[in-house]
Amino acid sequence: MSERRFTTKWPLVLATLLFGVRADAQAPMSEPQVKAMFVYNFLKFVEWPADAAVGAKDPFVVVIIGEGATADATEQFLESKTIGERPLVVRRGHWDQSLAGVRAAFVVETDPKKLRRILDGAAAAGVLTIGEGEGFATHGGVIGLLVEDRKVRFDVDTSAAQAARLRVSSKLLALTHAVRSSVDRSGSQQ
Amino acid sequence: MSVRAKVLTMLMATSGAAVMLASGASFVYDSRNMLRVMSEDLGSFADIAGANSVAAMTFGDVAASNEILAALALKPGIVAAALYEKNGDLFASFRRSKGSAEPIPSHVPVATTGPDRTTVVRPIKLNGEVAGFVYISSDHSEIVRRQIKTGQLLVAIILGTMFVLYLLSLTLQGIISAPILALATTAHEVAETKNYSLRATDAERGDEIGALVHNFNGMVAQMQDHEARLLGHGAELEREVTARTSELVSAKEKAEVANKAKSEFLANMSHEIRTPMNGIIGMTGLALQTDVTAEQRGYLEIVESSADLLLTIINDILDFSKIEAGKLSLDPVEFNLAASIEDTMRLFGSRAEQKKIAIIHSVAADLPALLIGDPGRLRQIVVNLVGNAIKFTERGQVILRVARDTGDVIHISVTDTGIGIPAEKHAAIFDSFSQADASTTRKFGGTGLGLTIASQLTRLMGGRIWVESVPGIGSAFHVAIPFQLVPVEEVEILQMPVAPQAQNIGSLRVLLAEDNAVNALLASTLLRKVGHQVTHVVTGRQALDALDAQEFDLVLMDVQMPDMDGLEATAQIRRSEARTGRHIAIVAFTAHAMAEDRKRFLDAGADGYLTKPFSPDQLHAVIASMRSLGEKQVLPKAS
Repeated sequence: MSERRFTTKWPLVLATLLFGVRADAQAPMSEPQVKAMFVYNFLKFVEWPADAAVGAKDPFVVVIIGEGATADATEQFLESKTIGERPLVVRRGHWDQSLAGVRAAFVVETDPKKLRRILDGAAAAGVLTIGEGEGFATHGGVIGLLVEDRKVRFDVDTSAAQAARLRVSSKLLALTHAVRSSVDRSGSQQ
Repeated sequence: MSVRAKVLTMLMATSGAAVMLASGASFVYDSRNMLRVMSEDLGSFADIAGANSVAAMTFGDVAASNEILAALALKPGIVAAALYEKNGDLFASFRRSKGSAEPIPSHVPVATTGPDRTTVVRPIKLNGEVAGFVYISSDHSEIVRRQIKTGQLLVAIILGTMFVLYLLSLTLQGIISAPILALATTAHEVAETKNYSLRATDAERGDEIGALVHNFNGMVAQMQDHEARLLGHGAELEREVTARTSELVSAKEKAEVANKAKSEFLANMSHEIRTPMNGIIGMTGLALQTDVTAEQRGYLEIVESSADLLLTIINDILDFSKIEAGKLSLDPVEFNLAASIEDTMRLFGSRAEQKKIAIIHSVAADLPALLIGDPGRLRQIVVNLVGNAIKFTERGQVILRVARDTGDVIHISVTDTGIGIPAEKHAAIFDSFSQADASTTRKFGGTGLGLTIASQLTRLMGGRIWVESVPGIGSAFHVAIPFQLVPVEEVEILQMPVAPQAQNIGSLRVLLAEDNAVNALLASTLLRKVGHQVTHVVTGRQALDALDAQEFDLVLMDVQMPDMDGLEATAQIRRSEARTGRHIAIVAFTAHAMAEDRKRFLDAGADGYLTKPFSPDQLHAVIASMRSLGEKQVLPKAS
């Protein structure tokens, strides 16, 4: 049932992004490093609701839930970065922890129930969720990173973004191949 | 170029120049503005392209970047565009035409505006941070196209404006040129018609043209005034001139009357002087033929030469006055020039002998035998020239040459070795009463009329007279006169001896009708001396009675006689002869040496005439010619 829901009711935005932006003179970045950079860049194209429980000058909090090479690379990449004038704060989190005060979460969770819990909590708290694999976006995550032909690409589920009251920049959407909007977002909760 | 055309040209030139300058300035401003606007436009496009490509740049999506850049092709003129990363390295590029060599800098450049390219470079910002740069290069084809369109529009505007200006100028030039043209027309009319009552209009304009018209009118008014005064003046002058003219006319008439009286006086003097002279010369001649002592002969000879000289002077003066009065006319007859010259030169023999100078004459052999001309007047010319030469020559010779010039011109020259004439007097020497200088007259005597008469006669004959002279060496007078030739066949007949010797005539019965006792005595003495029988009467009527009473061979008829004059008597004789068929020779006898007189005598019926005073030879010659009349039926001329 959930399988059907994921494939029929969730809008899928599939974007293919060329991997390996350019032939860098230095050592090419590894796949997790590229993904970490993407995570950071996504933050620049998303607007959060103004009534979120975060002050304008407060640190920009990113939580990493779960383990893996990408999670580690992301934690490392975001360290000491800023968003505008706001310093980035990276934390390790747990699936049942509250996401209050958090702006974005990088999620690595294979258990559907746990993932369900994390994503529902994130939507309620207005948190941008980023995950890996084709299924992440179809299961209610906002942005899903995936690799195709040795290139990193991403999907954006605009319905999920709306549910979390996030506004994803059209410029980011322009880099995806197609945008499909779900007919009924509430149906996914039944 | 008319004023109208000039004003029109001026208006057109100034406004045309203004329109052109305005259009030119507008064109330049527009061109610069277009560059600025293009630059701004390119900036906007660059901003849009940058905003659109910020995500693609961030995520290194070259394909998406290329697509975004390719969208710039919609803007005409953009030839190239590129995206640069934040560090300035080239990220993505676009060229409008594939494979063109449009240069794209490999590192982010700065914006430039060149003659044919305008480039802009804008930073791409994301959340206030520079994420990269966008570069756009545009050619100026769009500007050129717009400039051409603007140029065309401006030309159309200029042409349209000029047309409107022309129409306006046509109307406006009238403000200036119309009054000037009107003034010119009026001025022309005034000049043509001299109608000074005309006035130019439009004097109340209040500008300079109005003042000009006003002044012109003032001038014309003055001229009108002047003219009126002049007319008054003119009328007065005319009256004066008329008065003067009538005075002059009457003066002229008086002068003419006086002149006529003078001429008549001279004619009378001619007669009155010649008659006693005839007596003096004739009687002296007769006295010399009588038995006188040597002393008496000497006195008589002085009387004779003095009388001759006096006669010459009187003749000169009379001839001169006749020439002056235009009353002298020529009497052309056939004559032998060579014989005439011979005769004339014979006169000078004694004078040359007295002065101990040689007189030589040479007549060219090719002279025509007979010429038609006035031998008497020619003789007068020769006598005057030769006489003049002898008078002024103390030693040496006087040479007369007669030659034939080209055609029928006879060239007579008289050369002497006399005192000569200074060159400056050559022209005046032929004037009346002129000798080389006044002292000449005192030294050499004479009336000074000789050369004048010679000159006047030469001119009368259609000839030319001139002098060549070197003072102290001598003079040469030249006369060139055209003569008519007598055809050769007639020459044969007329060359017969005209005057037979007097002694061969024999005794004639002569009726002498002459009222003057001296002349009658002279003539009858001369006639009787050669054996003629003379009957003397003193009136024309007595002559007719004598002719009725007895036979005569010849009548010598004086023209001026009391009771019945010679002309009347001659006419009556001829009338009575018409019944009898006889013809008696009549010679008119007169002191009137005028050609018209001679014609009157011949018309009346005289066969010849003799001018008093006459020499015995002349008397005998004319009688001899009358004698031959009856035999040959040829009417000879005698003078």
